[in-house]
Amino acid sequence: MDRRVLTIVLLVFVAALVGVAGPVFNVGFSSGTEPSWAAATGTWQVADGQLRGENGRVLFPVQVGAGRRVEATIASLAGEWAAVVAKYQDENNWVEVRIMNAGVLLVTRTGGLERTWNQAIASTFPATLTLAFSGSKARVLVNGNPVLEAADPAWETMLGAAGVAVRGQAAFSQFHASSFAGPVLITSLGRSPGGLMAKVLAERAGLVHDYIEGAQPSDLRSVQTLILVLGASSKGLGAAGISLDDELARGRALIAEARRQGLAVVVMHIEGEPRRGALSDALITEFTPQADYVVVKADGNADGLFTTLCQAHGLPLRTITATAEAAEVMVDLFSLWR
Amino acid sequence: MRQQLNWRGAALGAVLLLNLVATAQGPATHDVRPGYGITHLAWLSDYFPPLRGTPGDTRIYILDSGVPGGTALVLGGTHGNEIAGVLASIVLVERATPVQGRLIVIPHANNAVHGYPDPRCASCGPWVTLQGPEGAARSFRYSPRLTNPSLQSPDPETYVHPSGLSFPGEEARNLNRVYPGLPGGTLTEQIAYAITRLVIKETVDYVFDLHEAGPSSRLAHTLVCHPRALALGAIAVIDLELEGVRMKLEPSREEFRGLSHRELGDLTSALVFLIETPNPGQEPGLESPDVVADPHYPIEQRVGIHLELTMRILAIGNQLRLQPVVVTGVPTYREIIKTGVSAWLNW
Ligand SMILES: [Zn+2]
Repeated sequence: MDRRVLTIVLLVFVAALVGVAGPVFNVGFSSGTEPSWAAATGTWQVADGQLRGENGRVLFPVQVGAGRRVEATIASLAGEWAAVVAKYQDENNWVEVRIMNAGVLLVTRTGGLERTWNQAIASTFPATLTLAFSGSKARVLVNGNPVLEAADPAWETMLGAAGVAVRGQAAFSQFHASSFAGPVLITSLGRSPGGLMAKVLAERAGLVHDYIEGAQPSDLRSVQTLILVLGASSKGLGAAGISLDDELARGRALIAEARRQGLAVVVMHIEGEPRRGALSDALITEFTPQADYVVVKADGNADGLFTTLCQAHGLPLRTITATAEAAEVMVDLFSLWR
Repeated sequence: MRQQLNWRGAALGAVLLLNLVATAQGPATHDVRPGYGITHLAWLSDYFPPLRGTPGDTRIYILDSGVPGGTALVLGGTHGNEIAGVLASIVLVERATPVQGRLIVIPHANNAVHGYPDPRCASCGPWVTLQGPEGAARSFRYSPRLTNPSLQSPDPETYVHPSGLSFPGEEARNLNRVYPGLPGGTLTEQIAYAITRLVIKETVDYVFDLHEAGPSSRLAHTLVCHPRALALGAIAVIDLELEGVRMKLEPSREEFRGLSHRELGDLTSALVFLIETPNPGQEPGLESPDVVADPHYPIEQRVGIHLELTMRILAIGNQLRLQPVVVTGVPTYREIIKTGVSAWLNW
């Protein structure tokens, strides 16, 4: 791989690296394509599936307003801190959450005036750092767990770019910005009860939804997001008189229609190891790469299949350890915490 | 073999033979020590009189709160070797107190499984013993899965369920293949028929059929739900995982004809659930499994899963404003794994 160092001045991006799909913006660093972007400061390079930075800031072409969440996965940190940047307008107006070995620090600068909030945590890397906004409120999550909440009236109207920053050296494996919105359509691909479980959890999260086990593209009316819950059993499919090919075709048609309408697509596998196997894996391999965001229960990813797929396609992967935690993920993704 | 007919009907050859044997020996008895929650005792034959006096008859324990509400039926011992379901039922009979609605418990749903060696586990049974306080001990029958062949033989080449689905011949003696049962059928079919009659006559709202399977079986740690009961089951499985118990959730599919969760769910308005816990006694090829004190699958864990899921589903149903059934005095999963099963029996 070309390890050419990029010193960057302007804000440019390469379409090959960036999945722009309606409300979602994903960047991975493992495509092998050398980026020719620009950044504000410091030294940045892409190598071995990571964006490595030293003493500076990179901004991506995505604007963060009142209802967006920005997250980055920090693979390693050697130095003071690594950060997720949002609402960056200029040196005097931005928001940044920094993760260091002993905690997180939320910093906002408006009109040159700085405010900070901090929370002590023991950080280990890799870690996924999320900064989410809802109106005048912000929330910081580390590996999906809320660790800090803050409010500043300025955030309500502040609009600016998002990116990552570092003091010292850090490597980032993933960057993601999104503003997922309901109502959602939940369907299962593979006809496992996971779809119904997701419906139960959507109810718990307060997410406005429709659940249709065998949803068709025509069901994607007046929704903003499609949630595909993957998981098949030969009995389930066989009994319903449905073949794997039927489910693959239905999934493709749903995603095509979602893309046509500019909807976001979330893929979930929340039933764990018992819902893996040849049929499930065929669905996982086909549809995970097409998601904007992927949620998996840890024991369903014991072999790393989801990790591999998400890394290869530059997608954020959220790992839960119990199915019930998918409700928390919905609260986070759809900003239902306000 | 004494030849005696104690009932008349359109008896076919097999039925005739069955009753000849049946009257030679009444229903097996068990060490069950009802607690204060029991308000009525009944027999399965109360719902289908031809079973009276036969080994297919079995005790029914009714816990009636006297407060209007729903009715839940718990079936233990559909399969004689699935001891956790039997013991969970006995804990209910000995310790549960009804607060609203009714709980009906049949600890030995197929009481015709006793008295012959378990063809699948030579070292298992015929009794398991639980130790109590001050050296006390209680013994419970650990019997084979299927109806005793001496009570229903020979097996047909193929057992054909009335739906047309066919099974290996010995499944004719499997209570959980012959639902909804036949009044003029085999002993096993008559037992199923009597249970179906009970579900209809008592307008049962919930049925819990408690089972076990070999730990490596795909079924172990599974909650099977009739499609109408699946949402309730999903909530229970999601919540139980937070208690440290992972259960698979499976809907009962069309092809599960003859099984309780399919037939009773289709035929009545009851929400029907089947719970499977892992029993080392059902693991093929194990030398001498300990069906009570296995280090990985101890009995308190398995009984705890049955009780916790049953109570949880009832509680969720109450929250969802279904016909309320409220029962107290039943240990949670955490309580019973801490204290053991014995602590929840009467001594
Ligand atoms: Zn069974």
